[in-house]
Amino acid sequence: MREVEQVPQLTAGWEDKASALTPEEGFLLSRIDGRTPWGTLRSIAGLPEERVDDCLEAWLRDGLIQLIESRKIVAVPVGELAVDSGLELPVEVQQRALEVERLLDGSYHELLGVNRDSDARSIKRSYFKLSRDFHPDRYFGRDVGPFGDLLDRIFKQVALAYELLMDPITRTELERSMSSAPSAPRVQNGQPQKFSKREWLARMRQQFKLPEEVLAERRLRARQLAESAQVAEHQCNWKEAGSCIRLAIAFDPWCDAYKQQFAAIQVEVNRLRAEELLREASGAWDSHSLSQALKLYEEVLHYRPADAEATDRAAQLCCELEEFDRAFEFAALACELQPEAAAYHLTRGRILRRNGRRERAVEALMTAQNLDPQDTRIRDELKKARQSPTRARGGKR
Amino acid sequence: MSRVIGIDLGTTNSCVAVIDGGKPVVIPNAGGYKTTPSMFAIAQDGKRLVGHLAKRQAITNAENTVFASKRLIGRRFDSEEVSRSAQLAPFSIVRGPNDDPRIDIEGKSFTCPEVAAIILREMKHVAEEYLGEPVTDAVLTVPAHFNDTQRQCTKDAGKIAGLNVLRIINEPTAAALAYGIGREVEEKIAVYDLGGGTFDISVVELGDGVVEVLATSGNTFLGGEDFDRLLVEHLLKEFESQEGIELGTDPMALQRLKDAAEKAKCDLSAMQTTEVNLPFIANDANGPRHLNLSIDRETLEGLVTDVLGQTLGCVDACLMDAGLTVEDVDHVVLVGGQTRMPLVQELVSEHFGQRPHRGVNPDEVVAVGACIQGSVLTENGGDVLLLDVTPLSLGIATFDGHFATLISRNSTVPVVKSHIFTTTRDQQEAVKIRVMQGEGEQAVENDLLGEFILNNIPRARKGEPEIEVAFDIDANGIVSVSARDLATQSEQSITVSARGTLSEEELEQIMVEHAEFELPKEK
Repeated sequence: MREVEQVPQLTAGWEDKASALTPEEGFLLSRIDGRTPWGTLRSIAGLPEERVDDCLEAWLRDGLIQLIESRKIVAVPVGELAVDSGLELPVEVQQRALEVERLLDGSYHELLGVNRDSDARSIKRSYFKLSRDFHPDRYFGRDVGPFGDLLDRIFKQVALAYELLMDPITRTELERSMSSAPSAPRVQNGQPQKFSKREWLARMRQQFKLPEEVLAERRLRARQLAESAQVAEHQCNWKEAGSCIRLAIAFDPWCDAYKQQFAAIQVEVNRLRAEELLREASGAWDSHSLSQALKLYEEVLHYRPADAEATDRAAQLCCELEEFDRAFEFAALACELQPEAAAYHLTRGRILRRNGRRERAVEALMTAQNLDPQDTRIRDELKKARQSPTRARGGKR
Repeated sequence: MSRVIGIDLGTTNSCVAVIDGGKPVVIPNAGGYKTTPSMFAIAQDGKRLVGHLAKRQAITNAENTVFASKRLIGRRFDSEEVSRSAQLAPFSIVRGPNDDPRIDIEGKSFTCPEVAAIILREMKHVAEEYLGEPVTDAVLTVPAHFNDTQRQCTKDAGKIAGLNVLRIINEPTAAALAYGIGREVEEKIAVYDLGGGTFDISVVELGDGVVEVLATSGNTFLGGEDFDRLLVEHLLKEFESQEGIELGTDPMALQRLKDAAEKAKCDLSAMQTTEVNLPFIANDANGPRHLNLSIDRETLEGLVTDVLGQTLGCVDACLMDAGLTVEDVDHVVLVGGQTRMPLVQELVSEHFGQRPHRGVNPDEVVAVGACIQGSVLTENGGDVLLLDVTPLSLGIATFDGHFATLISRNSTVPVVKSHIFTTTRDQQEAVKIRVMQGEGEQAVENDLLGEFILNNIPRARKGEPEIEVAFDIDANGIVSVSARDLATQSEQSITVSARGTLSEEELEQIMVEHAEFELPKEK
């Protein structure tokens, strides 16, 4: 078992070795940024831990990644300010500001330090006092560092609280809603207690926010991969293009352009694969390995479900192999896909005849003859059908 | 550290003050006057004249003397106010490339911020002469009802004049600050500011070292100049009925009339009747004609009653916004030269049911307030804090052409407000956010400050997406607007850089041109 603190990093030239990854592996690979330790990768990849270990071990063997000393990431403080005596803002004011900051999410009464019995005069006094402490003009042109933003936020919220509490209508409303949840301030001992779903989500997002530099690096890597994919596309190396763009998406799942590029490549890859299969299938038929040919046609139909000709071929093959039920299904589908093609109705008719359904066979063949009265094969088949005996339904399979 | 001056850039007169020895001091100009006419001229010999020098030669050089340019600043050439000014101005007002009004004198075209800058530079010189040291930092004042463009133009003017404008504050607010400093009592005051070109009314609460503006209202095109204009029109009519000669087409005669009217108006504040004597005002086949008319106070008062009625309408609107009645007001402070008129004082006393406060000098108090705010900002000086408001509502245009207010007028700044909007069409992927300022219910009645587009809204039926639009005004009055789609968290925002009527390049170029008018550095 590896040490969880060890940090995997991609080696130079890893791209050449990464072509045959599954999407899950691609995702895991994309999380390797030379900062995230092995242990963390286990928990964020969304894969079983053993799977993560196996992948990483394999990549380590193949030289895709290497292990480096863990680097300390300088934490970007989010909403966490500390008193700084180097600022042109008195330390007491900084401390007061940090205290008031905790009240910003709480009730307006608490923010202003008043209660329900307070009269307008004492609310105003309190507002004036807070304004004198925190109005941005008090520190105009001075270096207050990150406290500038905080002072601004405090004043705006204090002014809002004052506005709402000085208006008898909004004050009554506020106090009524407070009494339904009796004195339930959302801040107790500095600990947030109750948040609306939106507030909670916003906090969670903030918590999991990656440092901007990491994001930038990922985006850059995704762009490089997408470019490689384009080059591969030009060379008609579709497999390469596909695996490159899949990695790009793993690195930057927010970019829709990559997803579109991936879809376009996928269409092309499917087309090529289907053509290849078709060639193989007709080769197999020619060499009379009928069941092999049928299997290949079925695979073609997986890529090209609306291909009437391949469907017809599959129907004929099933018929030859005397699998009449499936044969009939394929034939009916082919006729449905291209109802004006006489040949497909001919196939259907032949299958029905051989399955001993005389009436319906004649019916299908009549349709075929109506569509193409010149075809001698249809005429012969029709003759055969009319002369054939009616066998018991669901005869030999 | 260099000192901060406060400049009241008035329509007719300007004034500068500074904190000296811990007390605000109004600085007299070279001629010993504490206010300087906001006039600018190019003399026959090509010399630029400002202030009293410009005023003195105005009659003989009417076409090349600019006055009351504050009434044009930041407006569109097609606006009603500009055409009304153009009717009576002896100098020519032309359309500038940005649809702004420009003033053509001596073959050179001046933008309004440029003219304002020339006057500001003069005020800067006055302060530098007095202090014996260079001055760069300044607080400027504007009428409370100036919109963003007008404020930005004033800021640009400061920049052209070589000033670092720390803040633009509202004139009545400045007056309240000057009035309130050092007063330990809690009280509510109304500042009635009738200046040369604009009228403002503000209701202000004082106490605990805080000056809190409760509400402000006004009219940026109503002031002493209108009184002069009405009086000139009256004189023209009288003269025409006596002599049958129309004077309105002769620039020099108009300038003489305007001067005489202004003087008569001032005289009538002290006297019951006055004479207007303008010899050789016109010529025709029968020889020279003289204007010789006598005006009494009642005539003048009859002319301006309607205008004054409008100001009292504003007063009521402002009190209503503040949620007060006249009985709640402890003192009324009069600001602006025009409030010297007995009729104004009478009407105000009657309206508020009390005699106005007489402790402040109506011509100087605004500049004093500006320099106090300057020292408050820079030195943490004076234990006083000004809580000013935004005078005009801010909001966005909705799809049906209405105006949705986000930050209503008289909100204390800095302020942030947000509201959720939605789409109006199925599968709508983008919305255009048009940021507007004004009080009209219809979007077209308000000023467009800026616009931007929020893209990438996920396709949905109309009314389903939730788009949060937030407006933020910081302490410097800078507006930023952001729009966020709550589903995808995609966000677009702009800082509504208040646009003046000058582009960046023009401003740069003008600053270079004007740098040569800087006083030569001593030593």
